[in-house]
Amino acid sequence: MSINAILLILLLLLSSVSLLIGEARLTVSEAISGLFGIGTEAQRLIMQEIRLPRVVLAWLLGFALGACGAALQGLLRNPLAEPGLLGISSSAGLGAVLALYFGLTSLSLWMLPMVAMLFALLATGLLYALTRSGATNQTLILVGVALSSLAAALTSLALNLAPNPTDVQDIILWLLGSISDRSFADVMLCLPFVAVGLVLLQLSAPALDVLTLGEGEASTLGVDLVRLRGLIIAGSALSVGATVAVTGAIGFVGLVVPHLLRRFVDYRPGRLLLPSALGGAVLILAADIVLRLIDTPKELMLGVVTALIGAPFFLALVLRSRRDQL
Amino acid sequence: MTAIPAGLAVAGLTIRHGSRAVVRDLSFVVAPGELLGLIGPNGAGKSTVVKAIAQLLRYQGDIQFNGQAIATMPTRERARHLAYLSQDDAVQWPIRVWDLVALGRHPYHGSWWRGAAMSDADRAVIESALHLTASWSLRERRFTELSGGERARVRLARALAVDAPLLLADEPIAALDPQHQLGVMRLLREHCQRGNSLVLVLHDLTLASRFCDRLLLLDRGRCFAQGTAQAVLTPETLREVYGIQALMGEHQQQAYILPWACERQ
Repeated sequence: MSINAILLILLLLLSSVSLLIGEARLTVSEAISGLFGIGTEAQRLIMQEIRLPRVVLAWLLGFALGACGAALQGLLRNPLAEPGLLGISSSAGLGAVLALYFGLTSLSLWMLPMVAMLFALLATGLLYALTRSGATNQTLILVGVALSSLAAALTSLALNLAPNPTDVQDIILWLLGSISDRSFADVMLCLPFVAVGLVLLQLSAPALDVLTLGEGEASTLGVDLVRLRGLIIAGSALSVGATVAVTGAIGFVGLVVPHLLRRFVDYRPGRLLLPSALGGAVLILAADIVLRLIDTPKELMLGVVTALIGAPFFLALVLRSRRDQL
Repeated sequence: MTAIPAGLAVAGLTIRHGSRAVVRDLSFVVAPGELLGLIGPNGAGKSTVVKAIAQLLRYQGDIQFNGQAIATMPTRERARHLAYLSQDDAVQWPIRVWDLVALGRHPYHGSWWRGAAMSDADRAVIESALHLTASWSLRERRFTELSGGERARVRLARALAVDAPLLLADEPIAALDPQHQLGVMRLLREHCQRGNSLVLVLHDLTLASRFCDRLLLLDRGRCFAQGTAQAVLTPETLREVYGIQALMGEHQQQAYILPWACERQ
């Protein structure tokens, strides 16, 4: 069975589990009838308005982070590339916070994802420009760290200057990253952008395989490097920017998932995109289920959990790549 | 009316890095079936010339293949006409050798989604490239686990898998032991005998003299001499361009050139 089929089955299983657990204790038949809108109004509300959007959002977020991580690693030819680590997520987050802070969201609901995507685009474009001028992998990661820090500093500034304590509370909760209490309106806000972004990323797959050889030889094999970079920058900015606008920044998924799955696709960067998208969704759903099952005084936030798992993983990866002289 | 020249024709090639010209007014031709050896000291501009032909650098001048400017060929068509093997081994992932060589078929496939649904003809070309480079037995191995010499052979197989009438190879034998050096030079020779043009950058003067039809000796970005090995590799040119004294002799009607002493420090 192919890795994609396995991941898809896993994804469907976890989605069912996610739909069945929650504070309201519904039986399986109640949950199913609620899901299809034939049970009581309460059952319908719980399933259709609370649990289903959460699952769909987990899918979208996982698809975006996983595919984007795999595509960036292929493009930059660096296993440490990831939207969170490179500052793309935090830049999108800054964009979203600014949109909230300046009240742009009152102009239009679409302002939030738009500004988030614009900032993600700026960050990706800057990183890309640096790789063009021959920056090493280490430089790239350092610039990512600097971008993240800058975005965090400006976000803190916005918090610092926020006139209203409830605004501060809202922004902080949003920053921690979560997929709970999101509605279908939120899902629809990011769905089109994630869909377009994923298509753009998938279009880059064959060229990413060829890029294994290095930019020079890839270019003589007919890979249009300008088009390839454009596809991945736009695809990353759209998918990550849009999901961050709805869920807040959720880190490390794009780093961990491609790394774990690479061996199953014979280390071919183009083939890695689809499994990474599915694997991203599996990881998000699993983490979200775990944090709901753990009994804590306040519900744990998804972004906190992924960071707690992802940061040590990243550290181990860096130490190992130093040893292997990657 | 002049006939369209077949093969590679480079005319008035000038390449600048910033304001400095690293290659100046270089002209040469490589006919179908011809092996041109590009030689010269480090920094003479050999790799730069090859990269310009492969359209990886900006340049002034005219580079044509079979009478068509390479720069204006559609990308895909250019990729089928010209195979380039770079000096640096930049392969990033521990990809399987077979998959790596199969990337040479990219110019013949749809550019997106699956992209690389291999036909039997593709497989035959890949197999032949692996056999020619004595790397068939490596096909299931991971590229990053290979030795330097094995890597060089597999990368050459990748370039041969493009099956292009023009091959540009930048020091493909630098990492090889003497036996494999001779093996690869023989296979490149045979590649030309099938009607392909080859521009080969190399440092070994004996191998250059034995296997190349013609040599082009570059010195600080200019053509110092071009022609047959006997005409180009004289004691005077070696002294002037490389600053060396060489032992030169003949064995079985083939010249050998052994760098022996430095003329200048």
